[in-house]
Amino acid sequence: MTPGSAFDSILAVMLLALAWRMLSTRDLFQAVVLFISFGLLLAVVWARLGAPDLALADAAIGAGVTGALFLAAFGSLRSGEAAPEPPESTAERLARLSAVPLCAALAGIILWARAMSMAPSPVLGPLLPAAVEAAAATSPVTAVLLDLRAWDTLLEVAVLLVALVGGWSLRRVVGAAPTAVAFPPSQLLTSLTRLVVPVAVFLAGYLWWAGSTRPGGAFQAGAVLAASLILLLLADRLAPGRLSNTPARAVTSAAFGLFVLVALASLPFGRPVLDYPEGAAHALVLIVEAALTLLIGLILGSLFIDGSRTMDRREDAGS
Amino acid sequence: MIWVVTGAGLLAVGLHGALVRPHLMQKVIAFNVMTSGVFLLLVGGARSVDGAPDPVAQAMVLTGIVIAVSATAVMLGLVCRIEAMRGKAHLPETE
Amino acid sequence: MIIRDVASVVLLSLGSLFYVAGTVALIRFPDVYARLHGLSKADNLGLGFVAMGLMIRSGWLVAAKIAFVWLFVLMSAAVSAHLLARAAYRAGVPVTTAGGGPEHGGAAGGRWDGGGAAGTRSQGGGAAGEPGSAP
Repeated sequence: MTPGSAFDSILAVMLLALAWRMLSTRDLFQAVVLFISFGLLLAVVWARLGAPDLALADAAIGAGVTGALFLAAFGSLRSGEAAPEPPESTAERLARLSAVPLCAALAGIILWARAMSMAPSPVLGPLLPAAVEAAAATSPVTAVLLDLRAWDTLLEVAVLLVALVGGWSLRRVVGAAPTAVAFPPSQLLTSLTRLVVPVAVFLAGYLWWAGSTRPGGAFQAGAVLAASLILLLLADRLAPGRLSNTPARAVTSAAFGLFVLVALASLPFGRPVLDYPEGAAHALVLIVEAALTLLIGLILGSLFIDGSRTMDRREDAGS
Repeated sequence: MIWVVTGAGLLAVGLHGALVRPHLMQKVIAFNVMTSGVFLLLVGGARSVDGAPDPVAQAMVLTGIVIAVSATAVMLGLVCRIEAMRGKAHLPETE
Repeated sequence: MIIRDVASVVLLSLGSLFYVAGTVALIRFPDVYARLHGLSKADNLGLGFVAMGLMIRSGWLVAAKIAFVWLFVLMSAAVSAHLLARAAYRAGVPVTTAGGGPEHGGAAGGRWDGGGAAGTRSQGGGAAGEPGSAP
């Protein structure tokens, strides 16, 4: 066994052990913390699988933003532990225990199906390297995301907008002032924010630019932007209302509109949707990625507030 | 191959957790574990013609990660709302 | 160069040693504050040694990037540890004294900040003492 595969085995066992532990514990805070470490280990796994774009995205979004969302939602809940198990009848207990072999059978079926089809796809496989070569970006993942499968990306952004509207509608309509935090943020956090946020914005710009030729791109840049927005919110340097008021909505709509415009711009020339003209393909991809970066950053940042402020804090509820 | 097994295992563990655990937030965590399992299946099981990492699978998973976080955000908003309206965030609903 | 490889391995091993020490601290220390203390050492020094071990086997540009990574992790780890300790203190988590057992606010000798903290402790404990109040 090579050192690489030994490392892989340890990683795999740790992933499964973390997943089992976080789903069998009764303490929700422990589950959330284990989930964040699970996300970080998964980022290492992506690096082992030769997918640096995924590693960047999972570390930033999967562990970072999702972890922040969970912690914010956990803070809004009243009790930190799961409910005591209610007394269950024999039938219920039998149903619960039968879930284990059923899920194991599902995993077994998937593995069996996978073992039956070990050869790479004969239709798509030979065509792919040539198509990536001819695409608008040098990094293969960006080429697939924004040129070969740009339609999927467009629809994905539409789904993000739907999620944003969903998050907004779940937010409880508060009175005049937003619910006050229990105590002001630490001076250290404020200073760190002042130092880190400009660097983070610069880093987002670099990731956007580098996405054409290296691992990077709009999603990772948008995640870094969302992280800096969340940091600003936590340090109370940014009022939550500023992310959902009219200028923010205008920017969000404009960014999405730009993507749609670029997509439809080829129609009047008699070509199919999202067919970039040869000379301008590279520039168009960069423009679309810029719009995507802004969009993803704003959406993920706005979703963060809505998770944490949907109900009054306990201190205010009692008074 | 080990990642395909891990992905299937995560999918099974996540599904079991989503079915069995009564607390809603833990169900949301379980859904996230399931999505991670599926992503591992996609990327770990993908194979390009010349042995290079498959960019199509990676692009799909990248899209999936972003959608998973937005779905999680909406789910968590729902959980907080349910707790605000019913007083508790765990099943059974009537007690 | 053989000496560069040896130095790199030595530095990486030192870094791993600090991480093991930090993990032992996480498991064995009695309360939040002591664990944060141990983890900060692991984070700063352990990562520093690992970063140095990697820097000496890379080119200039990559080494500069690794140095920046270390710098930012230092800053964020320090602020995170501070925020966690602050939140735990305000939530009323008792500090374990030198005598061994945890003591709540009001006890005189053995507390690291004397009696002056008794007033602020009860204030912090009263405002956010319910279970589940998050930092």
